[in-house]
Amino acid sequence: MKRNIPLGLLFLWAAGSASAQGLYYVGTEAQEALPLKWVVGLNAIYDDNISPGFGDKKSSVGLNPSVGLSLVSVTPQTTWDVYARLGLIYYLDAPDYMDSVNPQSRMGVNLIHRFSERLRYTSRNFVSYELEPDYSYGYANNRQIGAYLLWQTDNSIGFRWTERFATYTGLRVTDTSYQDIDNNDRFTWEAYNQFRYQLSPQTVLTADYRYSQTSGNGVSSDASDHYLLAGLEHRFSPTTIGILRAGAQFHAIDNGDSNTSPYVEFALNSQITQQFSLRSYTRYGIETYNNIQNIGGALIEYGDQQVLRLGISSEYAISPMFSIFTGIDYLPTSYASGIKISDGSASPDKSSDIFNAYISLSVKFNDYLTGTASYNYTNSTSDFLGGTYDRNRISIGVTAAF
Amino acid sequence: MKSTLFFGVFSTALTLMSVATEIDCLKLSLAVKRAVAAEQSQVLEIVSSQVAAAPACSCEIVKAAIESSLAKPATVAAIVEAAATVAPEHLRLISQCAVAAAPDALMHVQAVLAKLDPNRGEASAKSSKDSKSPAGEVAAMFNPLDFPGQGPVGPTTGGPGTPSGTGGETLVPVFPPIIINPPNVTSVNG
Repeated sequence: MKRNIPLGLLFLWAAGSASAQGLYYVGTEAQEALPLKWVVGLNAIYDDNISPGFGDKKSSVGLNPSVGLSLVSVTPQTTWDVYARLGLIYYLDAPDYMDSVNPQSRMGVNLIHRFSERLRYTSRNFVSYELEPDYSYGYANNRQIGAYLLWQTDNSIGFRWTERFATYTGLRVTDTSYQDIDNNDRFTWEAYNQFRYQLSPQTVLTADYRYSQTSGNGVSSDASDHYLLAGLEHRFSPTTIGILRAGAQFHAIDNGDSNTSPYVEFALNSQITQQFSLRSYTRYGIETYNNIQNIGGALIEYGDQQVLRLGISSEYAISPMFSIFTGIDYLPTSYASGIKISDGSASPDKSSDIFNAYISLSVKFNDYLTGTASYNYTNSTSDFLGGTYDRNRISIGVTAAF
Repeated sequence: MKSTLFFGVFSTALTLMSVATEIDCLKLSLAVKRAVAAEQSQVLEIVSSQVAAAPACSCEIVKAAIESSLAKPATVAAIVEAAATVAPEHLRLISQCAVAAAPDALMHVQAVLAKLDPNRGEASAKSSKDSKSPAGEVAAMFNPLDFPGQGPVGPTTGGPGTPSGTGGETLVPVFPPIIINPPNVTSVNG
């Protein structure tokens, strides 16, 4: 399908589709092979609040150089892709209490091998070391606390038992490690089994059972989760697809409370016209990241941190030269079942809301060079000290793909 | 009446040829194409007689009939049903070949499959395995391991949808440019 957008953006989009896309992700596999590609970029950033909620409001100009590569291989039996990027953010006017240079690097490898029409192996793996980069990742629900190492490996076996019935059985392991702080590292392993029934050529019904155990470092407690979900994958049209899973999450803190919560995952991708595409995601459930908060010098662990994540993004190709990208994210979080770690006393419930919006324009200079300009607005309101702020960011950059 | 006589003679000749000699599916498909082109209204009868005479060539016969008659989805389904009725052991192969020749008729063919063979699902997987061509004709049929349906959006032969996927966001550099969240300015150590 020929798309009326600049070549560089087409490459980025196609390559991006081959890799995971956070909560927007609907299981897209690379559709065609792409040779080794390099992308070099440099962005200049103006940020009017580089350390929101901490000290005086401080603005700074920053530079964001990066270099990356990608490779996609597609054969009838095996599809794999590799992507990597090395980058950094350098703030020219960083205050003393924060680093001037922050990493921004990641890489990933994805593989699907079909032994036969009945048996296949799927592996998705990535590692990143950077500041929280994107709300659609599914981790950030508050202002972030520095660069961290994050890796995940997800391996599963798919087996088709009958013409219409199949299962995916797998193990997903995730680890986050912070260099500068304690109590926020997490190691999670999750075993899952998904039952799939082909209701029609356009619809697959699903039923998921997942069990996970999360280990936290420092004073954070370990936790376990059971998920029972029913859902469907549906193709509304050749250019519109959706995924919905909903059910219950049973969350238990070791030697602590147990909580039950509705759990929902939803994602929709649509190429509405040749020029206009739309994506959205929703996730709601109990999360264990960032569930330890500092209130007046006392550490509080919230055993029931329920997070709703909503996101919509769109892309509109005005002409072969110009494209516009827009998006919003909304993340309300409720903190309940708080326990003061020092004495075990109960702590009152809290909440926070983050609203994030951006608009970006790209201009294709030639077959290799693409210019970008974007504006990002973030508004955060929170019961926690320093959690209420506004932030405006402007970015201008250029990328070269070859 | 004249055309019916012509069809009868032609069909009989093809049948005798098929029985009397070692079957060449390619030649047979060419003959079917000519026959269908000459008598499009008799396409179902031609398919039935030829598949009955040469079931090993059922794939080629069905494809030739569909292509030569420029069959619409409903006609494709009728061709599949006609062929599968006389060669039920090749039902899956016939349906896969039909969809390969007329992808738009997938749903109609599925309906025929559901009607003629609702419970023998393993045949598809076995024939697919034997074909050693997962990206070819077999891929045109559904597989519950895949995301459903086909189109420019979403996977056509990939894994399941997993909206819970985290991290690994896109390739280099992410576009729109990554907007970095606040840096490391707090500590939860109290």
